[in-house]
Amino acid sequence: MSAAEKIYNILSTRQLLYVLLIIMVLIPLLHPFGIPISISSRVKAVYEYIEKLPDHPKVLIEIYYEPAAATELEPGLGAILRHLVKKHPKLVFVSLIATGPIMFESLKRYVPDVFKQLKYGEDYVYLGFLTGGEAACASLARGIKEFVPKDNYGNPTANMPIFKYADKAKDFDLVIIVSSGTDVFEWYVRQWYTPYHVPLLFVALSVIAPSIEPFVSAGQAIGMVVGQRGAAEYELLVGKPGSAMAAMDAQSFAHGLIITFIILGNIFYWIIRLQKKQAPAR
Amino acid sequence: MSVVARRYGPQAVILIMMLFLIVTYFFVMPKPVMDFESSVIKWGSVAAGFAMIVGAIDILRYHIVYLVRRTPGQWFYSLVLVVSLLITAAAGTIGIVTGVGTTYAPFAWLYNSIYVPAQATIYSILVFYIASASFRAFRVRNAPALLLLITGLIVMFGNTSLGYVIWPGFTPLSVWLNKNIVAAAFRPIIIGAGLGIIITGLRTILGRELYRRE
Amino acid sequence: MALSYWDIFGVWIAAAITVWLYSFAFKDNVLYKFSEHLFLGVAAGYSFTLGLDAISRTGITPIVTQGRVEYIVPIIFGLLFFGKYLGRYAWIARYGSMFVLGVGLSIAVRTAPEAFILKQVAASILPLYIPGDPIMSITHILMVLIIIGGILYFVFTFIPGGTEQRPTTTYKVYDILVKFGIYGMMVGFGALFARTVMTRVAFFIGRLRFLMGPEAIGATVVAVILVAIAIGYAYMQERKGGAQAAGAQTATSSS
Repeated sequence: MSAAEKIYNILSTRQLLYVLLIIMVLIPLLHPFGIPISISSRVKAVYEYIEKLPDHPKVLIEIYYEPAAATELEPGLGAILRHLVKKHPKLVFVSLIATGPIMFESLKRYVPDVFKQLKYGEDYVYLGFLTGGEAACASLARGIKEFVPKDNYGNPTANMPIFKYADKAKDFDLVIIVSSGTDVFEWYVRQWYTPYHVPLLFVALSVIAPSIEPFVSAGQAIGMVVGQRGAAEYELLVGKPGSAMAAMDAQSFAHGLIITFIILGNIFYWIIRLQKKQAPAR
Repeated sequence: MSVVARRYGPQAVILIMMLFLIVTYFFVMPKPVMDFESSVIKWGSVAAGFAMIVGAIDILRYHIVYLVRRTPGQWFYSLVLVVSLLITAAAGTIGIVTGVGTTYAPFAWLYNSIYVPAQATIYSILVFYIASASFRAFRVRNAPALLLLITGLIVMFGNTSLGYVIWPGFTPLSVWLNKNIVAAAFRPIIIGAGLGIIITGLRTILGRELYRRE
Repeated sequence: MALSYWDIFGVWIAAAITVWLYSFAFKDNVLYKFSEHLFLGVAAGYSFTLGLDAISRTGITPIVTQGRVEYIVPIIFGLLFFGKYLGRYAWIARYGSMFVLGVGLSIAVRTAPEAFILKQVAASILPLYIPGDPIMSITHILMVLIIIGGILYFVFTFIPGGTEQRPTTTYKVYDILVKFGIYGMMVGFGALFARTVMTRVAFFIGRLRFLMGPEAIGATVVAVILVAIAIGYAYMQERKGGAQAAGAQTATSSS
């Protein structure tokens, strides 16, 4: 066994790679370095779009993610809400995923400053989890109050003042879809954008972004805030760096480690391959 | 009669539903018809909720079998599952019946202490496999793989502050790639999916999608 | 705000479950299996509750409070799902599933041609030459070639006249376009890989933050010690099993 093979075998030990990864994420979490980031044209465009919304915008917010995705999506949504709240919006929150109610309570704990400025039933409402996926999405567009007679907390929606302004698809200025899956973006493109042309904004997990890129590129969505990086940029734009910005150092270290793994893995692969090719000639 | 009820009946249900909902979308209809169409879509949403209950009962039945048979190496874990399922469902049902809903304290305690951390952990465990695969499996053997690696590196650098320190151009380059090339690469997949939906719809209407093995 | 005993207990359970589930990456063990089944049980119970809650709010409430009896229709179709437990009458469940499937599929079919095909095709018709902007011109040319190549690769999977050995002009054009499609997709998958890394690391950061938090750190240490013992025990069992198997093999070969 050549020296290269020996080193390759040592580095191939799964447990060693795992421990290295844990260390590389832990160091910047315990001791942040504050490496700067730039703001992309993409996030800036979304910021400017929200900035140009009229006062008291009516916004539907789809909370479609699980606890795992909260680290990536909650900061982005939180920063957008901090921006939106300055315009005294009417916000209707809804979930077409069962974990929605958990994530909505988590969101309220994450941005208490936003919810303190809003009155329940008047400025915002949470409809809870609705079954049926795309059928529920289509039904919401036809009249929320009629489709969901009780909100997540069991309050009747019939007399809620918010629905005087924001009930049917045509009443809304924007739909923000915060999702860890691809399907819900497709539902809203099919049931809200296509028949009613309501502008959509995607707040997506990083891993989902490439799959929904064609919708943004075709103008079916006004833009996209992608993952922890997009969230960090939005936090900077609203002037309140939060948990996404704090995670950027750890992201950099982990990415650096994975890039090193890829490069080292290939170097050793080619060295060993060339050595094996030369071996019979010797 | 039995074949009619077993096979043609469900087929008729889906055929009628599909024809009605498609015709009402593409043609202008009187208001009562459109109101009925809205109701049908709402009904679909309500009925789908029962599938979630059936799913939970299926898991329960599956593990009760292990429990009854005392399957070695499994029955104890099945007991854990059955007990935790029943306690959670009972707490949740009490919440609904008392009108508190999903915020009922014992139910919230269960999902905050068990469901949230476990779900988040199970999804995040993949980070280890990505680290391992990047060293052991990400091999540049040909030109397409090289292109994949180069794009991967650009987007990874563009995503992090590390890339900004090395070269500030990584972020705009990554945005350009995503907005144009990646969008173009995924567009045929979306078009293919659209064709797939239409074809599945047509096959269902024609009765070629269901119960072929019967 | 002071935490109640239940809150503290909840944090300890959450930390223990997190550590025990992570231990699977190192070695399967009893604590992992326990946490996994506990999670599945709670998840199924949660799903049951949320299904019931949604039915109650959107299906039963209209009947009870507004007297809208027509909502009995989806309730009946939904109840038919339970027909699957009726043995020889299990086919009853098909009526329920066909109803739900019928609605879901129809509303997708209605808008898919416009949303997924027409809009996407329209967005692909781009100007190939933009005076004074060579970068945008090249970008558009690349995009159009990749889209056409991708569609040829995915949808029009026939290969026009000729083979790799004896290519015709049509074949050559087809081949070049498909290559653009394939290379474009490689760029797409490269971006997908990079973005996957960001998501997975973000999930991991979330869990590490929780484990290192002041409320959970004590529980984390205890859970790590317990899982180390469990993994050690699993290794010992494996060795014992291996030694017994080797012993049995020796005995067989000597006899």
